[in-house]
Amino acid sequence: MKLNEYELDALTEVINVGVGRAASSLSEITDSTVKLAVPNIYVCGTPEFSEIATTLNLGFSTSVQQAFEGDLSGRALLAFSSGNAFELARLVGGIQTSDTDMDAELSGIVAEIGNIVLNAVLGSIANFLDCRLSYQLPQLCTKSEFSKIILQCSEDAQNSRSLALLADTAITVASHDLSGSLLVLFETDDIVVMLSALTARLTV
Amino acid sequence: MAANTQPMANLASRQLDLLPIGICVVDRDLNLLFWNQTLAQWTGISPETATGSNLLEHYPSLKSGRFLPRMKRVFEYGQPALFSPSASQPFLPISLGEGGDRVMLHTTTMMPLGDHRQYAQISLTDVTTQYEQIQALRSEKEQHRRSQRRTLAILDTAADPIITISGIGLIESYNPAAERLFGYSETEVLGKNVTVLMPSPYREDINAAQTIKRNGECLLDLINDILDLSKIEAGKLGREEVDCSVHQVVAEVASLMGVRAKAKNLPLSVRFDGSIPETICTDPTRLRQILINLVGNAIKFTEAGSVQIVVCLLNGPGEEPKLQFDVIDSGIGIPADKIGKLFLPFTQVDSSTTRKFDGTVTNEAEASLHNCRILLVEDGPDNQRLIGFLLNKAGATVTLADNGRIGFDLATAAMTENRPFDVILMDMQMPVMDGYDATGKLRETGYAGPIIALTAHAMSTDRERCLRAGCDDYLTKPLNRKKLISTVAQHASREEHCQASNAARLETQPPTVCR
Repeated sequence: MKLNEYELDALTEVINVGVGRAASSLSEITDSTVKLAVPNIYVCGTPEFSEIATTLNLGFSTSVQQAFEGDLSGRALLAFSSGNAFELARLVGGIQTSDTDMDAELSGIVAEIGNIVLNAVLGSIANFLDCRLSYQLPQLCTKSEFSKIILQCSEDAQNSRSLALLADTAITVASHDLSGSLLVLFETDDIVVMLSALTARLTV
Repeated sequence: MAANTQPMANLASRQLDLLPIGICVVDRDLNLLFWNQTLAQWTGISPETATGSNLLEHYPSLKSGRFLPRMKRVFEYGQPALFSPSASQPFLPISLGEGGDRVMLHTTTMMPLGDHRQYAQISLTDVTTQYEQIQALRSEKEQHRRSQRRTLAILDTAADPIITISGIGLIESYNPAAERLFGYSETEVLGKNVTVLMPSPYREDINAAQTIKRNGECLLDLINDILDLSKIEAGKLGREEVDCSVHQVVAEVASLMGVRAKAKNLPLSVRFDGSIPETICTDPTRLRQILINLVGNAIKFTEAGSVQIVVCLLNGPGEEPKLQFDVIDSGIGIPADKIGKLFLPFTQVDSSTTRKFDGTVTNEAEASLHNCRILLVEDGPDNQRLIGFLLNKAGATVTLADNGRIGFDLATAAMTENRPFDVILMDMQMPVMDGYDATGKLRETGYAGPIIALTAHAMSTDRERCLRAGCDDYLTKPLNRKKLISTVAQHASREEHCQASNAARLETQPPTVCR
């Protein structure tokens, strides 16, 4: 499935609003200003998507996923390189350690950050597309689960089973620059219907 | 007939009580509809008291926290919330421990329940033990890193050349002082065999040999200190308690350090203040080591004047008698504001001070190996030359064998001719036939003479393996000249033919090489 330019712009805007909300939620729990840059969004099937997905697959080691169903089905993931995940968790949790291994405590913080960011983005999508979603609990993904999801994205994109969007964003926490990637996967039939409805509404 | 679902509902409620997870159900206003037994145990609030009351009544802290807005979203948008104890603080302040001095660390999730998001289930998982283990592990790792950094800092600032060598003789670290001494840069020698530091062509050049001897001994002392250091760090430094003579230990230290003092024209004296017991129960090795260190430093940092060791007995009433050792020097001293740092681990008062004073060299009494016939079974040409040279200088006649097979043939031939070698020095790692096999075979043929193993492995298990193979003793490479000569001399003197044979042998006869 191919999104037309107008639909893609609309979806990008929806995700942007969600990322903005995530930043303010994160600022609340961290006691420091959190900035999330306007993300670059790529659709699965484009060379940019493949390039970023490959990099994520090779180097990213900490990711949180939250599945959703209802009017739209799919899942959303927030992924960080191990260094970024560690640094983010350390800053948010105020943890003093020079150890660079992700342990259960640091992973727990990343899971909470993931929960806040993914809730904000998915909430924004649900709001704009005027759909009702029910969510599963956020879960940390293992590296192999993450690889499987990325592979599935490409396969599904080829036979138009799902639409995967990838948003790359820079996160600034307490003047530390970090980066993370947001991956949202929708089942194709749902998103086509939803986007048509949205664009119809907006163009009326 | 309609099924009665009540028993199943009761059973489900009982099951929730049995879970090791705190579970409660709230409505949009946070009124409690369910409170399981686990939560009751943790909080002391019974299910009867909890049900029907409001969560905020029991935990008003939830109002002021960041929890409330996120809890509201659960009902408004149906989105689950996850609170980790480290990012959000524990959801409920549950006391732990006897005096309630600890707070339970728990991960909390809140999920919407019911078709219209009118209820939510809150689950609390206790992670206190897990997180405490993480803290312990982190601090253990931190301590390890600190000690590594300290060791590296010591290596960098040490005025003495320090080289650490792996079990197989490869250079693992090499400090700036070693760089100055040997003239090779760190990158040139790291990971290489320690023999790269030795002059490779064998020459009977006394200066070269003395350099090897001096540096070798100097390095070995330092390496041993570092090994002790790592033992202290690992908490494995053993201590023995035996009866020993204070006078003897002090006299040994004075005689050993007298050489260094004399080289700097410093009188080194010993004074026993009052009566001192004949024997005391202590670890003489450690006492000697401590005194050598203190006296060594006193000599090193004193340019003129004297160094004195004073021993006195502190015998206060009602107290256990103690011996006090004072090492008094007229050196540069320690600034008053730095004295507090003295007993912190590895604090140097001023690293620039140590740099000004170079490492010292000791000359120790030689053991003699006159009239000794030694078979050196060793495949490495550098070691053949170095060990051959050292033994030769001590007066021994050395026959070289390139591997265990040749060594075995030479030893059995000499035995048949009824003029066996006094000592066999057997390298354990060799091609063709290794030292273990050669020793085993010699013992099988009834060879009873002393065999001393040479190996690069410094583990105690290696020592046992050598002894099991039939060796009488064990020396580790890099070899300490003094230890080599004394060990060989000790075993040679047990062999009566050592005294009987070859009175006319030349002292500096070069080694015969058999290949």
